[in-house]
Amino acid sequence: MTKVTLLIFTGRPDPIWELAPGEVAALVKRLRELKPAAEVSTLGYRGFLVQSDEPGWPPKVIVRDSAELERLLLRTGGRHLSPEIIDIVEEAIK
Amino acid sequence: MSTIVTLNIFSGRPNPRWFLEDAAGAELRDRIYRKPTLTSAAPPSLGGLGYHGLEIRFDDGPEPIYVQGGVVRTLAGSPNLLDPGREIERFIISTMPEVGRDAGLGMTRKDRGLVREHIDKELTAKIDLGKLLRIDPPKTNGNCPLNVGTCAPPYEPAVWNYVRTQPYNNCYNYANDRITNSFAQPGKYHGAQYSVLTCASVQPAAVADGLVASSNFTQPISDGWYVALVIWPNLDFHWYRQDTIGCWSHKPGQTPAINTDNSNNPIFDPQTANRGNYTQFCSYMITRPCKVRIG
Repeated sequence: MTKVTLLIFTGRPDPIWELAPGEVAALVKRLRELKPAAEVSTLGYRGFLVQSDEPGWPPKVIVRDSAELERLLLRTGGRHLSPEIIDIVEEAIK
Repeated sequence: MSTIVTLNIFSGRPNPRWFLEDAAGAELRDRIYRKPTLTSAAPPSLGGLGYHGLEIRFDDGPEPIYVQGGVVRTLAGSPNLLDPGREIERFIISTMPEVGRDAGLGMTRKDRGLVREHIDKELTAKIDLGKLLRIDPPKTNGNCPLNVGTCAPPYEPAVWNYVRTQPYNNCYNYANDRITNSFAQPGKYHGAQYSVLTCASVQPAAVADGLVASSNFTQPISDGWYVALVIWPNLDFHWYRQDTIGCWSHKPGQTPAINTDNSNNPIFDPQTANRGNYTQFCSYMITRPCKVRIG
């Protein structure tokens, strides 16, 4: 199982969703090659936390400053995110 | 629960790795986090090739921590911790299994003996305690406002940035100095949670929990301290707290507690700090540990 958390809120819980198998396959190569970002304590968009128990995957990786992969992850969360949040994150990724 | 230790020692061949049994993993956490002493020092270089410390991966940690030369390098954004007698480091080394008991060790019995001998020698190296004991002061230049909350908490981020605490406690937990591991929501404990994310909805929810609004943070409080509520309009809320030193700190969601704003400046007043999208300042409030309950 692979879960994605959008790191954005501070008071309410961050949005979290599970990747479908097809989405996992599409992301695995990029995530393996990714240099994980460090955790930051700022207000606002802070990246995506990807947690997985798939064989060969790192258990937890923060994705930030990697625009293409961030957009892909944002797309996987479409059903779980309001249009306003999607706009905010897209703007922050730029 | 699994904890993986990697001994950083080789250059060409894979470094030895082993699993800690549950009891040893729990003891290691206890040794690191029970009474942490913060330090601004980074783990010192032990020089060139050969033994250069230990990497520890707790199963619930987002990233490894490193133990080396009297310092525990903790998660990004958190202060490092002191291991002045290198007791934590010695303890971890003592858990290295015998050859054949852990496939990840990847050493013959002879190799293992040579490695232990090498490390034991390295562990006798003198550590400059004067350097390690220097605790990183907030970069306030002495300009923090006066704290008049008699029992305001000290700024001790290590307590909050522990791997088993940090993800489950938010800004509201931190402001009230109350670890509930429930990502506390204003009003929830009293069945009066906010309905929309506005000052007009979140502030009364906090009042239901026992907090009291204040127009300033200058009136002396004998049994509590000041906090501040801000809002990202319709999307989120955020809280700050005034620490003993007089400056303010906060814990943005599941990330580490910190005493700087979005511009990396000390927080002299949350009303004027860089708060990113949290543009609405609702009010200062007073929290009293004997009267406030959150969940």
